[in-house]
Amino acid sequence: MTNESDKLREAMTKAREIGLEVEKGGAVILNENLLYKKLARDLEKMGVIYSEIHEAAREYPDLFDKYAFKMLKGDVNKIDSGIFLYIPKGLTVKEPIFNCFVLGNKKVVQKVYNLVVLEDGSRAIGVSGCFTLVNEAVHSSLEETYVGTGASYTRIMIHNWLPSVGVSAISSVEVGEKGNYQDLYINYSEAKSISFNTMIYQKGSDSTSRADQIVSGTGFSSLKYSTEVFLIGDRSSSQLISRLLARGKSSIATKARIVASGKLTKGHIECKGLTLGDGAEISTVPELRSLSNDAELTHEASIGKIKREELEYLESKGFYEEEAVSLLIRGFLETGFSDLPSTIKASVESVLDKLSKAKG
Amino acid sequence: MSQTSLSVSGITVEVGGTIVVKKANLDVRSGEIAILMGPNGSGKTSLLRAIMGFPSYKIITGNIYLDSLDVTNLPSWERAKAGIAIANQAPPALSLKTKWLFQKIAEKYGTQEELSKVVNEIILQHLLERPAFNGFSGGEVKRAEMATVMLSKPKVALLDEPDSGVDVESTKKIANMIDAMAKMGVAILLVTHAGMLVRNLKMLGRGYVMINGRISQGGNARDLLKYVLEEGYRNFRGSDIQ
Repeated sequence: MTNESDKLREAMTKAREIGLEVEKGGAVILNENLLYKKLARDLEKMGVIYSEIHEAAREYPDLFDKYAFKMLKGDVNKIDSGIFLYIPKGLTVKEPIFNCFVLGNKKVVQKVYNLVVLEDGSRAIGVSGCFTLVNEAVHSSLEETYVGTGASYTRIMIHNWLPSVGVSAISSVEVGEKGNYQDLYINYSEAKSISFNTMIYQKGSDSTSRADQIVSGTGFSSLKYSTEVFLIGDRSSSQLISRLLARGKSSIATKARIVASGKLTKGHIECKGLTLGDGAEISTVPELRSLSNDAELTHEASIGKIKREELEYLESKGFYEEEAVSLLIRGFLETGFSDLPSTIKASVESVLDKLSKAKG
Repeated sequence: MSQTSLSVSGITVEVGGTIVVKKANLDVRSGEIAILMGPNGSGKTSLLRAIMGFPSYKIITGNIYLDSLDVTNLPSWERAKAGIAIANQAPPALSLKTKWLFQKIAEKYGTQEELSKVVNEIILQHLLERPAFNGFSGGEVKRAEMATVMLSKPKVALLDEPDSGVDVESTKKIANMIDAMAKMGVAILLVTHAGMLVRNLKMLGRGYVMINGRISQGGNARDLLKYVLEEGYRNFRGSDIQ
């Protein structure tokens, strides 16, 4: 398989396997280039912009200058490709928009920049799938997201890399007054290394956010995640939830930090880790920082193994050991993320089912 | 007479180096509700868990038969699939949602169509989205465990104090469920301390008393219960206990 169209076909098939229905509305960036893009025509008519990032810089210079690289440092000329998604004021886009970032050639270094803007009162759901068709490649991404006053954005991201792939990702999010940002991230790959930093700035009062991370480490993966939330607006609130599952000789390290400066803010960090291999390693660092005398910040963290008595209980109900382990892992992976649209709920559950059965 | 479903023949059980059941014999026929009574710590739960095949309950001597199948050396999941089910007295809190536990058991035993009926009968709807046995009340634990047994469609049900911590109404419901299982031909071995559940059962068979790991000859369950409730266990000596 050598030409791009064959690889695109393979990428679309792989995307469907993890529930990304790109043909219904979405894009595929293969290596350095955007090779496929589709958006419902009625959405275009309603003012939704969905374009390749360089094209966006040329076609929509005002919007680009207003939002691009304001939170993160970067230069669009040093970027291979990326997606610009713009949802105009007051518009609700019910169907998810699927973005696939695919590494299709060995030694390729894919540099991506995505810009997502939700104007005041708008709503949208973005689903990203990042995966590889080959080994020995690198994915590097920057993403900026702006959620306007009263707007709501749900982002679901699934990482499914091969063992010799390195990944570096930085995401920065700004949430306006009464804005709502929901983020569900799942990694079920054996990537050599992932470094993923997320910053959420809740500048608007009464803004809310929730970021769930479900991370599976297998083989010799080294996975590092850092999530920081800044509760700047009064009465803003955030929850950071993570489930870390380390198998084989993998290593998972997470940092979760909430800094509260607004009045009457609320933040909660919940981190649970499960180690399934003698060489597996998990470390988690929750940090709460209050700069306001009425902030309410809490955290809970635990790391453990599957309990013998739970296993024996399920075995006594007729499940052999492997089934019982999968069931317990599946239960462990449940974070209670409730903002999943029905169109992709089944896909996410299917990914989690696969993850609970995987070996490492 | 109905055929014997469960036959425990001279089993001695060791847990962590201590003998907890000594040469126990016991039979339960298909459709019979046999009760097992005894003071706390006498070995009742150990006997049930040994019959179910929990790994830490090691059978040193004797055999367990399900119908004519010797299950003594089978792991618990094979015993379960062969037709033995247990309602534990204190199941562990699981990370698994209650509805998933029920669904997976129903899938395993082909009882998916009965799932909603069982859940409604036992009034468990409010627990379905919660992790199983996490923060459940005593009565909720018992009802959820009864549901797992009913969904397993067993030949033999081992019920470990399904009435403890349960209110009067729920006790009657549990009694009806146990009777219904017995009517369907399930052999039931019921551990209980209290008379209320037993008084509500219609399909009672034999009763056994266990003291210090030893078990009595089987007698009429209702007579035995009456005696125990009046006299306690102090008179169970000598030939009463094997």
